[in-house]
Amino acid sequence: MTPPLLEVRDLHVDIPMPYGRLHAVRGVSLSVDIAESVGLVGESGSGKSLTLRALLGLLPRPARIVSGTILIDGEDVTGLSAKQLKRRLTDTMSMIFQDSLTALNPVMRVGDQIAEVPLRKLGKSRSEAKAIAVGLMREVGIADPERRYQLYPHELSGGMRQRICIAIALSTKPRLILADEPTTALDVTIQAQVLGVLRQLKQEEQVGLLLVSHDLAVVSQTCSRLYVMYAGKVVESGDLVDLVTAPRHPYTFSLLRSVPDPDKRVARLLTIDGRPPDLTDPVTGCSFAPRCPFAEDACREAEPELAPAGSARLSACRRVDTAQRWTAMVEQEVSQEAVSRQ
Amino acid sequence: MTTGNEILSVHGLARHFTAHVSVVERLFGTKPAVSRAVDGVDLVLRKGETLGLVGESGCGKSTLARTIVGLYQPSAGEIRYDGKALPAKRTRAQQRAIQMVFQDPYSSLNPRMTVEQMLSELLRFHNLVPRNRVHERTRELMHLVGLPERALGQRPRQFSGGQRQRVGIARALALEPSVLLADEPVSALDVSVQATIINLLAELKETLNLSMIFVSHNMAVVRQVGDRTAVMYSGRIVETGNTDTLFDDPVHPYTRLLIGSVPRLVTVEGPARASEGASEDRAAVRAEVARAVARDGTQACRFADRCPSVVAGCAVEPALLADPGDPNRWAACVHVAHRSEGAIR
Ligand SMILES: Nc1ncnc2c1ncn2[C@@H]1O[C@H](COP(=O)(O)OP(=O)(O)OP(=O)(O)O)[C@@H](O)[C@H]1O
Ligand SMILES: Nc1ncnc2c1ncn2[C@@H]1O[C@H](COP(=O)(O)OP(=O)(O)OP(=O)(O)O)[C@@H](O)[C@H]1O
Ligand code: SF4
Ligand SMILES: [Mg+2]
Ligand SMILES: [Mg+2]
Repeated sequence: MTPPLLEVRDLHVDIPMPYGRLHAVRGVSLSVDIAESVGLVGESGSGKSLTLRALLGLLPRPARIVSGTILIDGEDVTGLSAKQLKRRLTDTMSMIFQDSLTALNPVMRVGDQIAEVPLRKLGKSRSEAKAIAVGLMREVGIADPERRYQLYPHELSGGMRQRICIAIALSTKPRLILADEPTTALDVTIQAQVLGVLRQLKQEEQVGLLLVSHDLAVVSQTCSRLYVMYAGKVVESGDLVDLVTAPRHPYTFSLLRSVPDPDKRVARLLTIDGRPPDLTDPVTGCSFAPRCPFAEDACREAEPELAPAGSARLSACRRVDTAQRWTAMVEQEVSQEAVSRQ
Repeated sequence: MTTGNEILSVHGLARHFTAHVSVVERLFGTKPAVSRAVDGVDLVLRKGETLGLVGESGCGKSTLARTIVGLYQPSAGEIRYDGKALPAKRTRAQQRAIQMVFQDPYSSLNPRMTVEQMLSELLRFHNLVPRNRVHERTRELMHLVGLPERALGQRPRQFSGGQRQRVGIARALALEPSVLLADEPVSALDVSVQATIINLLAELKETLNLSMIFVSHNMAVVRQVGDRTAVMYSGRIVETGNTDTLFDDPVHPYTRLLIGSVPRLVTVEGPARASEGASEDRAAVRAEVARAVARDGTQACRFADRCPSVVAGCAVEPALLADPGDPNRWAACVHVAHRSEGAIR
């Protein structure tokens, strides 16, 4: 069997804070196959961005990797020298960020920004690099690329700028793109175009995608497999369609119920009361237990580990066997509340 | 677009910005570029309703909201509140009546003041309660927005995003407004926190009998909160209607594109839906529109260069007209007049 293109095992990231050590990523393992699109969703602050950045050695100060193994094509690259490691990582992957305006150089023509890597790193001549850049612009769906090559970032719309960022990410010929909320700042019509570009790259160029977002709908339109993070850990993973139709972790279950539906108005949105734990304190028990509608005493004693929960499915919930009844359980509670309010 | 029970309305409202031009540029005769952020908006808010305002980034939603609360002076047009046109300098009562909740509660709150200091200052300045009742009132406000009383002693950075947004709402409510303008109040928040704030605003609207304009670029959120929805494009309202009808059967081509592009949870595996596909083969019509505009000096429909339904007639900007099939709905598109014949394609 071909090993996955990228595999991460037991990644831990720490941030020293004035009041203690924030254990922001607590043993994340994930993998992406060649030409596969994988989503990473989860609560704000659950460690999605840090996980992604750790993979490229782009952690913000003072965050640092405490431990973890990265494998590329099945080969452990963690032992390489810092320089070789960086090289190996950046040859394989590149990253796009949420805010395209700050990611671009405001005083440099967008075309030249795309041509930079071919020119400086791949040893192409000026005219070759320019031709490559124009080709990449066309590839990400920018009409009239020769003219737009000459423009500065502020002269382009948000969607166009995000395409420029994708073109820059592609200029290193990566096999995998790491995208952190790439469409969050865009309106839905432009978002649909950008997601279309990412889908097309996968189909036509075999470029894989690891997409971070807190928008399940966006991820569901782009990815075939999903990891769900909560409080620094993956709490559920599996095939995307399976996972959103039959969640096997109460966080995923609750998240899916609080997403507003554009096609139907409901009387009252469902919410997840409470807050995630402060990860400067040690976690005792399931990190979701204080907010979980199904928690029992045992949940608060030991933190459950990820365990198989169906085909290609993992869940870190010790009550996963009751999952089929979750909807009925919360609905009963909601109706009881309504009765007691009257 | 008049009905008896309106509380606020705007008529031909415009707000333009002039870009800064340096002295050197002026010597070379460069004219300052004018950004027509809001460019002729007609809108009505009825008593007790929530009006959702949607549109793409940069279409002028925030500028419209800020002009309505009085943070910007209109470049043209008028704003009427409770039957009277608002003067350039509003009275204190008029200022209080229309309040705003901002997208980023962090930058809109003074970081050095505790919540108590901030709220009491407002209450005293506007003489809203007798001096000896100020503290009691700040406590009531905390209850109203679902914060514990001890939150009064905290400063903005000591709150989570959702709590901070509650503080922002408490600040607006302290002035006992009758109209609340919420500008992207949940866009910076996590999905679950977003739901709690939406529920809170819905409750407050009922208990305090507020009328609200809810600005958002999240269509799913607007579907949940808006009794009616207005769609803005490039400084103008292009469609308004009852939220359910507008979402289920959009009339304006831009609204159609917008609603068609909303990401939906894919629950069956299959090809993702196409978006904005048909627009390329309209190149000939678009060129014709451009020629007509150059020849006659008209302003074309602002959506003409992206519109999949563009026709030669789009060289003249259409007015916001009532839909013959639904008097509650208004749209600005050449096809609207023919809608009863089923002509929009
Ligand atoms: N540079 C930093 N300094 C201090 N703390 C940080 C830093 N970057 C991240 N953190 C903290 O680490 C945790 C994880 O952050 P991360 O950015 O990975 O979250 P996320 O899942 O991407 O959230 P979001 O959806 O809000 O982007 C959070 O508690 C965050 O406050
Ligand atoms: N103070 C200002 N000076 C100059 N131009 C401005 C100013 N405020 C807004 N604009 C311009 O007016 C237009 C409308 O901006 P506005 O912020 O109202 O849009 P918006 O619909 O709220 O967008 P978003 O969804 O991104 O918040 C934009 O082109 C913007 O650049
Ligand atoms: S382990 Fe317990 S507390 Fe944690 S998610 Fe499952 S049921 Fe809820
Ligand atoms: Mg993040
Ligand atoms: Mg805005």
